[in-house]
Amino acid sequence: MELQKICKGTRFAFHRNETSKSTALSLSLLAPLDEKTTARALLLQLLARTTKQYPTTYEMNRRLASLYGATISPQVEKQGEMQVLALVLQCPDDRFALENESICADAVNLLCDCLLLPDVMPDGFKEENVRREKELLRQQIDSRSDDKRRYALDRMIEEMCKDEPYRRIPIGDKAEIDAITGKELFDLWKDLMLHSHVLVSFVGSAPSQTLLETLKMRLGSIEKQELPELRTEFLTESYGSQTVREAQDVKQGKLVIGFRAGMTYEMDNYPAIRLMTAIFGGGTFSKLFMNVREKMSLCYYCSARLVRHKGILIVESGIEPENAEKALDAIRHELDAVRAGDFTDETLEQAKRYLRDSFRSVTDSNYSTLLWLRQFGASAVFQTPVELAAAIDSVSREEVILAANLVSEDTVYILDDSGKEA
Amino acid sequence: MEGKCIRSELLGEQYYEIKHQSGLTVLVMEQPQCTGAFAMFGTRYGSVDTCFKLESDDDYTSVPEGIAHYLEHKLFESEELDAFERFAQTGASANAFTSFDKTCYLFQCADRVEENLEILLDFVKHPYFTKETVQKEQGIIGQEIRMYQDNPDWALGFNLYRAVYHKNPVRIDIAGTIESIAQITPELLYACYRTFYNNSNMVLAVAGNLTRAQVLAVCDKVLQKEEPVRFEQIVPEEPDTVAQPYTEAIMPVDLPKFELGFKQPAQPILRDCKERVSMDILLEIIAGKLSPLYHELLEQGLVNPSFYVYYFTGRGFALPTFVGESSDPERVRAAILARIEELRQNGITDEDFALTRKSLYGQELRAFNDMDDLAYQLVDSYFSEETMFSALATYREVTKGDVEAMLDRLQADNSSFSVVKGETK
Repeated sequence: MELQKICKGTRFAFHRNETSKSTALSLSLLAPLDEKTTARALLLQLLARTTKQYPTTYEMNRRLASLYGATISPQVEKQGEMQVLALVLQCPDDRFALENESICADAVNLLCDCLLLPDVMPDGFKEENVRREKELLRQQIDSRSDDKRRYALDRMIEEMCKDEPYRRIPIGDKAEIDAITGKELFDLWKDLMLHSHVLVSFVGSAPSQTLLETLKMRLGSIEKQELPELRTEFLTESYGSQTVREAQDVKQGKLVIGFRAGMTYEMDNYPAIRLMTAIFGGGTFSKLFMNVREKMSLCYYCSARLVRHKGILIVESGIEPENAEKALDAIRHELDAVRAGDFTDETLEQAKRYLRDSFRSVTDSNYSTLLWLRQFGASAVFQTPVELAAAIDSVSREEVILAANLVSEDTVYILDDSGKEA
Repeated sequence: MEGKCIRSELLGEQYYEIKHQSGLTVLVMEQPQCTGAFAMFGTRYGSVDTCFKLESDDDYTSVPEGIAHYLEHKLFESEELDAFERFAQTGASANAFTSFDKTCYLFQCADRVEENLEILLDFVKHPYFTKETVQKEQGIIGQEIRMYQDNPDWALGFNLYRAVYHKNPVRIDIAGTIESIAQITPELLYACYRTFYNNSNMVLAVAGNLTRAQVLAVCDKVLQKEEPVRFEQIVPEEPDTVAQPYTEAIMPVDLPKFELGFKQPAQPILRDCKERVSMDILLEIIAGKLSPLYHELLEQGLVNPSFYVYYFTGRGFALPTFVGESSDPERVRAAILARIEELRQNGITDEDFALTRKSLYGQELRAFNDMDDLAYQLVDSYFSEETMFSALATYREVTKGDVEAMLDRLQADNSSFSVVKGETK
């Protein structure tokens, strides 16, 4: 697993897996989360859908099929206050071609075409395509809230970070879709080409040097201009906890709690906070699982996770609406217990062992490996899972307690059916 | 060492199928290049198994809905350390799932593979149910049920199965209902366990960095020899026609969701690989991502990229489906039916067949990358009475004629349409 520079502003993070049967390659453009977030998400969809050479979805999809069912999908996510716009390619290796065709090189070139040679007119993206993608994005934003767990999480973050760019949903805001034009998207595309950091991540058995050469040739053709500094605001401490309740026609109540984790940047005290999160609510040995689920039978899921790129810790649970307060008290109680050092050395060791084991397993899955590589965005630090496991191993009990005491509750969000007719 | 080696020259992969002296079938795929391993211990028992008796029993036992899933949760508990606590000692990630026709217990780990394997076999083979522990799980599973009740895709699927089938137990919610799980007792759990958790009804699949000798040594240590049990099941007779052509539910969704399914003959119980592959190709030709129909519907704004086709099959059920979101589900349904008619009239073009087959074959290859997929496929193919490489080989052999023969199975007047939509504003 390693990271190399392709050309100015463009990096290549890869892991060679000799026994892999296919290639997974993700081409990510990094941009700030700002008022252009929705337009960029729309742009990414347009880029993934067609190219100049294959200008309709029909032609494009048939081309992908001829590459043995290769797929190119747009994936948008947040990494701190950065929007990651990824075009993700998957295709089988050449040795499985039925007529000795080349698959991988052609598929990688097609992926590069999506980014570099889109189907544009001199004055912008074609209006009919823009219209179609606007509707599809609108639908995608709508269906995101059909999943109530996801919806509650989005809403908690929106409330918690209402004065920070992090409040934005990575695929954008429905209210901002209408005003977007083909011309604006064209300008945005040119801007992204010249001014965005790019991270190409790759997992597979294809020779990485050959790939690197292709990528150098294709992506190196862009003369990158000045690159923006991508910064995320870290609030180390909450200014007091707020509670937000929302009523919807749901059978199960959702409880989401946001905490500030006391971090000042993504690597700040990370191993200790990561370990503390695991003890608090990150596995079946954790306090939340053992007590809130197993002892109190309050829920099916109750877990904590750390969003390291923003320095926040989130607890999520699904509960009977009338049990919301009881669950909230129980969760707070467990956090207090960690703060007070009320956990055994055995639990500490179990959490370390669990994290070490899961990090060391990352490379046993192509998908997990790709996600691992992608998290380094434009970061100056690059760490392998084994290196992180070692860092976590050396965290002391005192450091865990210290980390827990840096955590402060910021927002409690409850979604239930109160105020709705049964 | 006994056992047969099952090999794919194409993939350069192989695994061993070994009948262990305990009566358990053990499948091992040695992957020395991996860091750790993934293991799955499964039984041919799921939510569809609702009425059964051991050959030695006098009467049939009818069990409450959701009991297979409840049993899965409860097996993690023991009189001493429960399974989660034991895996916490090793650092492995353990889990389990219950589907319509099987229940599987699994772990993934980087280290201490044999120790983990021992825990897995041991906890599944040692049930411990008391009134108190059974009672305790009601709150947890109750919340799991509530969670599914808020999931529109879950409702969409089950509403479709209830529309297609009059009696087939695939209609039953895997997790049961709050009311049905309240009827579960330790005695009923033991009755299910005795019938379905015999070694002869189970399989162990392991993929990863260990040898079959290591796996077998753990089996020798943990597993007792069990005489195979014979059981009988009552499967209600299912009429050939659908129960309802249309079903609809109101849930808080913005865009309506739809699922169209075509009823299939009740026999055979297990669909063979050739049928599944042929149907997969046919569905893809009708409305998959590379079809003209998908393109038209997308351009007209009638479907979005969440649209997919799927042949839902398992022990005792088979249902070709078209699933998606649309502002006008009825128009999508009509377009799919028209396209099927058109293909019946004109046949499938050579080009469409060749391209679709190539595409699906390529996508099938992806399932051979990761240990978790490998273990899952080992179990799945074993219960389907095939090998793990059957589907891949079938994609290379299937003909256009095989695919066209499936067209007769898609009859508009024997289909059901499930829709979930928001309240009319």
